[in-house]
Amino acid sequence: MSLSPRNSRDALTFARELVQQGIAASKSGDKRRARELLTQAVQVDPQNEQAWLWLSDTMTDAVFRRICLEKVLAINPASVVARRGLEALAERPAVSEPPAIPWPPSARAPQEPDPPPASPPDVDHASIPNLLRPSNASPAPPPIGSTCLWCGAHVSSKIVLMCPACDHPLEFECPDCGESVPLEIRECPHCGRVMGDFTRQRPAYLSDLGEAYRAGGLPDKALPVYLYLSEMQPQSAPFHVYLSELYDQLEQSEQSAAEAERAVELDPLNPAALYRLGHWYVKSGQHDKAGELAARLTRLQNRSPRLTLLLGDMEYERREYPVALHAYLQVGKAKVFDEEFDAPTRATIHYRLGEMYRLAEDLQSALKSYQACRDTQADLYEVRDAQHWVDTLRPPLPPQASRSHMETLRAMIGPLLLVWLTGAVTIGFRFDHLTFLGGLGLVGALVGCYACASAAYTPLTVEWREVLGEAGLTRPLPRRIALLAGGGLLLLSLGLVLFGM
Amino acid sequence: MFIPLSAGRRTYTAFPIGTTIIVVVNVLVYLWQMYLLLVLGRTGWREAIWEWGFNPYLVLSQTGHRGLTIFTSMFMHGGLEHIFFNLLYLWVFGPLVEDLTGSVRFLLFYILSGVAGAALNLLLDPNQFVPGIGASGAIAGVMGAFLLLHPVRRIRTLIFILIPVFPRLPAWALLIYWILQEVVLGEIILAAGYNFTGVGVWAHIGGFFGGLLFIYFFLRQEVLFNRESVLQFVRR
Repeated sequence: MSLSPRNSRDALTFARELVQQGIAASKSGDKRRARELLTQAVQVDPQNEQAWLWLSDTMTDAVFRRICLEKVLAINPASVVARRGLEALAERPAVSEPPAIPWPPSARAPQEPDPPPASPPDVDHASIPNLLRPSNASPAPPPIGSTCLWCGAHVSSKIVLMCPACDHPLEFECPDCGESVPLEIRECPHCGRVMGDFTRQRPAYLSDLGEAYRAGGLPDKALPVYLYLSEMQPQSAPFHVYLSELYDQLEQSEQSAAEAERAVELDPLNPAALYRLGHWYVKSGQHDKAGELAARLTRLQNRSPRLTLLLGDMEYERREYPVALHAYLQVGKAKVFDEEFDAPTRATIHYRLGEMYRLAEDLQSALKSYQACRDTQADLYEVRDAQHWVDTLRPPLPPQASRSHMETLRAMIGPLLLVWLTGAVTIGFRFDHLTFLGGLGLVGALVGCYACASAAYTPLTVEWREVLGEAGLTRPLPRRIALLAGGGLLLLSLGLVLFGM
Repeated sequence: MFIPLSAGRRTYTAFPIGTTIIVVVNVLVYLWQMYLLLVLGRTGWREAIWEWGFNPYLVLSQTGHRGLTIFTSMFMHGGLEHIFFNLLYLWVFGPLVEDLTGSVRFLLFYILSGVAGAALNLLLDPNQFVPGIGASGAIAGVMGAFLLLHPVRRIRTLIFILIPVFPRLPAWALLIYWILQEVVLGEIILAAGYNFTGVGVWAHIGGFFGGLLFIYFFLRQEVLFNRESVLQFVRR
């Protein structure tokens, strides 16, 4: 089965489904299939009485049948069926046979269905398994996993998933295929994933496993692994950081904060721990502690952009706006700003900058920040509010303003008048004194002004669309080229007008 | 005599970069003039003014630096009082005009106003042989633009009526009073046949009306296209 419950809430439902399928398989005579399904069911839900009961029916080995029935009685001491099954087993000599639980289940050859067993008296054949049939007699090797690799205690059966002595698991789910793999097996028999050598390199085995669970988005699976790791290496700050992160993902904020605090105790400058702890303080409104942490962050040399952002967040929440503004501006200037932060984070930074600038009545900077927030196009309330502020501070232009050729003319007339009037004064308004170079300057000014005005004001005019395609001068490079070339031509023309006439 | 002191707050620009650049350049040029005075004495000072001041007679006779002197004269001043009051007027009216144009366009507009003042000076007093210097033509253009853009804005003004008083007068009243005074002075000069005042009246009038006419070409698009936006400034 490749199916596997991704969280504990689904586990019971999943187990019930497995039991139903297992019972159906058992009734249809496919004992091997039934055993696979029921084994999985008891792994998922070890307290499922029905699963243990039907599993005992699929076992060919008397020892395993007894273990299963004992489990049933442990769960439900009043179970008559289990009691009678045990009595029936006690009347027969115990004969061992190959381990009943296949490992891996799919790697074993299918077995013939068992012969129909004799039914116990007063038992409904349809609803309960037949527990009184004789077991097959054949020699068997010792069962797998008979020793706990954590504490060395003897474990009587592989059915037991946790060591009864140290309460540690005897197997983990493969991060790739989700099948259970005993600790002593180095490669997942289902998918071939290398699990590592638990006996010799236990921390490496667990680290690799935890990392794989985290990467696979399985925080509930990764959490116990890191708990074992932090148990083994209690002075390692990174494990506490991971635990904090995992608790956070599992929405257990207080444990998350406790782990982050522990990590900061162990390593006061650990950026990840400071980051998590700071976020907890901000989220939980612990402004005093946030202030202390902010002071520590302020003193920190070579802060990463993320820590600087955290500093900004904390100071913003504490309404220490000048410090927050400084921190956010530092973050914004970071070279990796776009790569390091996702769109919602960038939007929030810009929005908060806008709010702080607006409070300081620096409306132009506020406008720029709100525009930057809006341009992130993140799906956030802040972005919608930023749009509102952009419209308030600078109402949108009607479409004709950005497309009309008249706007180009309006923009170009000012500089053009400057050059032409200068030329006229230079020759004392006696146009018969106009020289060739002077005339060239006047014409050059016309072209330069048109290029500059188009690039700056109306990048989508028909003329530029014809030259540059549908995008006109909206693309940054042609726009800059037009501005530079036009500006250069304008200056050259002014020079010609001043010195060439 | 009235001295404007402040005209209120801006909306678009946090800091008037264009106005500041103009002030700084004027001050630097004045320092250069002072340096000449200290090193070369009054002769050096005068020679600089004759060489770089705007002299309509020399321009028409096509000698000297001609058109270039329009720009150089715009940044030279004849004394501390001259530069102080020019820059004070610029500092009061400039930022609010710059607010509606943007810094680069404001710089262009300022220079164009100065050129307009020089052009009218050339046309109406072609025989003026005394070089004209000072930023007042360009600043008059800024005042003309201010009259058009912020007519009802209240200006904190210092007026001496036996004692100094600081009323907040409407911009239109101050500016119309100022330009009327200049026009009347111009009429008197025309009647007299020569400029006996020592003031560049034609440059002031040319700059003022040039600013009034040309400001349209330098305004931000949003100022033109959003009436509410314009009213927002006007109502202050």
